[in-house]
Amino acid sequence: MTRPNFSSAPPLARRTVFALWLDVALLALFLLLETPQLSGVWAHEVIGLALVVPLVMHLLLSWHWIVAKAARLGAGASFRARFNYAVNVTLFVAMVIEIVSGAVVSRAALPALGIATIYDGAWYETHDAWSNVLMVTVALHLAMNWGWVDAVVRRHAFSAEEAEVNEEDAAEAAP
Amino acid sequence: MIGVRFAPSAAQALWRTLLILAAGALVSLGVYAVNGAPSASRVPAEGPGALYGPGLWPGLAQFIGWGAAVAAGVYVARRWLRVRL
Repeated sequence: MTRPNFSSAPPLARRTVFALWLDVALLALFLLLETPQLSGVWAHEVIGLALVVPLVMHLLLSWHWIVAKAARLGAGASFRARFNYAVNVTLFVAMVIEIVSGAVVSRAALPALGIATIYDGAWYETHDAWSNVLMVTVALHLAMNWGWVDAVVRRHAFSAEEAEVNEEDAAEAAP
Repeated sequence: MIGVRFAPSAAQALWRTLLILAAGALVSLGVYAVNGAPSASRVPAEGPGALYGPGLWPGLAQFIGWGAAVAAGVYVARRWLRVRL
């Protein structure tokens, strides 16, 4: 497969670069959330609750896509488009269930704020089971959008490299 | 502040955020309908146990394991299931 040449491509929009870093942060936070033995229960719960903010930002940045694709999910839509939309909806549902069920069985963050919680077994089982759904849908979401990630990372890396070279050239040319 | 617009106007950004939160509330209601209110009668005797017992090396192993699982999922989805846009 031939790789596109990004040397002549225009620089990435700030919004695209921001979306890339936001997604990188979301993936890192997701992995940290899935590893409570590394983070400990306090950080696990705080990160889980705080994740709402970057998640909403991610959805706002994708708003145009969400609305446009939903409008075209009718008879003419391809299987690929429907599958992708189903993956994204499942991802949203799984993320909400994880955050809400995690808050319900919170043992550190919410009690520290004076909010009483009950470590209910049924809610914990929901939390545990949906974390597996979340892992699968995150992997599928990443797989579906890998082309975008690959292209943006390459263009971003190239423009950063080019900026560095330009800075070095300017420094050499300076009196 | 970060120079990125999340919507054409602040009012629209707020409206869209409210829609996202409303969709989240709808999902939450569904889970609540299934599980019911948290009850002290369903608190497991053994507690969360080792799952949340922090430790650097087991934690790192867990982190690397999940990272590898996601990477494997992406690889399998793209390579064999031909999942792509």
